[in-house]
Amino acid sequence: MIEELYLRNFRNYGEARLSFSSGINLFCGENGQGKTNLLEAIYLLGMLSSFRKAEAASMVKKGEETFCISGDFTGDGAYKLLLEKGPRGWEKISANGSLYRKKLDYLGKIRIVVFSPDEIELIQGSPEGRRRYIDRTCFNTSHHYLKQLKNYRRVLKQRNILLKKGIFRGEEFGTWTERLALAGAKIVKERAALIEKLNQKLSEGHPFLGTDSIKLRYVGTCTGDEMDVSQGLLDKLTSSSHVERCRRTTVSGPHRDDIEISVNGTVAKAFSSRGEMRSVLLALKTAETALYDDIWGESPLILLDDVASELDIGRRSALISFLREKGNQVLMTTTEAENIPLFGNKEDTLFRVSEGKIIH
Amino acid sequence: MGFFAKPIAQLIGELSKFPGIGEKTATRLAFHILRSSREDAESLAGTILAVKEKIRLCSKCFNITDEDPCRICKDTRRQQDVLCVVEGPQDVAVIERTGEFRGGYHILHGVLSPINGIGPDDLRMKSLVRRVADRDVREVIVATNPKVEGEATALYIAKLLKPFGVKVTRLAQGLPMGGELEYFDAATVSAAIEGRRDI
Repeated sequence: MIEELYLRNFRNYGEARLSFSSGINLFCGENGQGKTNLLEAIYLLGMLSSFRKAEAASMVKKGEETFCISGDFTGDGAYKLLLEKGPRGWEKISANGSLYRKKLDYLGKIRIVVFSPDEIELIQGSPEGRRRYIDRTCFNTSHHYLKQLKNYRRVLKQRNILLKKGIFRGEEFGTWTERLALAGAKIVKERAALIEKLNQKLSEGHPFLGTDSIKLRYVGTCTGDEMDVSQGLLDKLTSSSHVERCRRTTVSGPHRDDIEISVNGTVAKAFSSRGEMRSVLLALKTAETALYDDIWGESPLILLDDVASELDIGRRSALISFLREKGNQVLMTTTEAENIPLFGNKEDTLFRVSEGKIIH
Repeated sequence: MGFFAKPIAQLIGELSKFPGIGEKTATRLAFHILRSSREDAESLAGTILAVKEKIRLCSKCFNITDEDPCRICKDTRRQQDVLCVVEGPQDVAVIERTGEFRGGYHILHGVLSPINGIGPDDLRMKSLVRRVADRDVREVIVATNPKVEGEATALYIAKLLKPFGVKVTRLAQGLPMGGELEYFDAATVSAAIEGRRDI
């Protein structure tokens, strides 16, 4: 859990220090006062990127050059994480006083699950968003995944450069194609394994969609074990050679795959109302939470951005009692504290947020 | 750098072109040279020039050398039927230090990397094929770095040498000596699991 957060010149905050409790931490205030910025800062500490679609450069307070965020986390290990970002990028990425030059080595210390209004894109939006979600979740379950993904992307980039130059045959090109198939198969294997685990969790039931069954399916060029996928990718790359020749880029592989979300056998995108999509998302996110519980033996941090505007009172209650039961630490925003059912236990804390200041 | 007299400013400028040397370090080095004796400075200048004048590539293995063929290629006590392919001359030094390998080398001077505009023709690939074709080479050990480009280069070499029926091997990947399992990253451990062997 996160015990303390310190901000300097981050978004609309000049300086702020917050101490959290182990239950629900509620940030309450009008729109545009800086509630979501607090969630964003915490997410940034864990993931070095925002869950909002924003570049970290724009997160510096107006008129300032650098921002600083630090946080104290306990759980699996005790971490004091500290970030500083200036006009030229990250100036300091550190954990427990040690500086990290590579983001890859820093990442993975804490696990965070977010539920925010933007997340609906996961169902409605392009495959890219779903791939990003699945990649992030893969990383959170096994850290070497990111390295494999970086390898794949590097091979892909190398091969695409050859295609751009009009080289699409010969030993050199064939070598990069083979390497791409090998690297791609590792990605597909990890993603497929993750989806199987999420499906397992989804089938164990969730309090959000009654008896409806939610299922994920990996929609890729090929499936099977690593060897099969590698061979399948190689065949696919060979057979789509004429398309690649026209488009001068690699047209198949994990970077083009998708994840299909279906409810009772129907693809969610096609039929769901906004309300239903929310429920599907909640089910998915709680499955993700349960998965981290299993793997790390520690509940992830839950960030809920403005769920009151997104979920009806019944679903809100179901979500909060679910999280309470699991013992997750929750940080959430709302405009009205009354909108949050079951709030006010002794392990809960209310923060009033106004114009980038915390009023206790 | 307007604070310094022109010759010293120029020296700082030259030194800061070195990899890993910033302006501050370059200034320190320049003042060190300034303070050193005339003999030391002449010796330094002479050594730098000698490197450019005397060092060339071995016509057989393309290692840097001051005699052609190089000492390793000339050494008849070494195994003539095993070749170790490396990216650069520095890698030869590392492998030699182990004393484990007593064959010949072939230095590619780079790895395949379309991003950097490096293809097979920019590396010493044709000469490698020629060496394997001309001589009775039994095994080629590919010791390129275990990175994306090094792996691709290794695969390319394996394909290239396939028609000659020569055994092509790759250096093993896995755990470093003297380490403790719990401190290694997952990628290293998973490579070690993949490359496990019978005992």
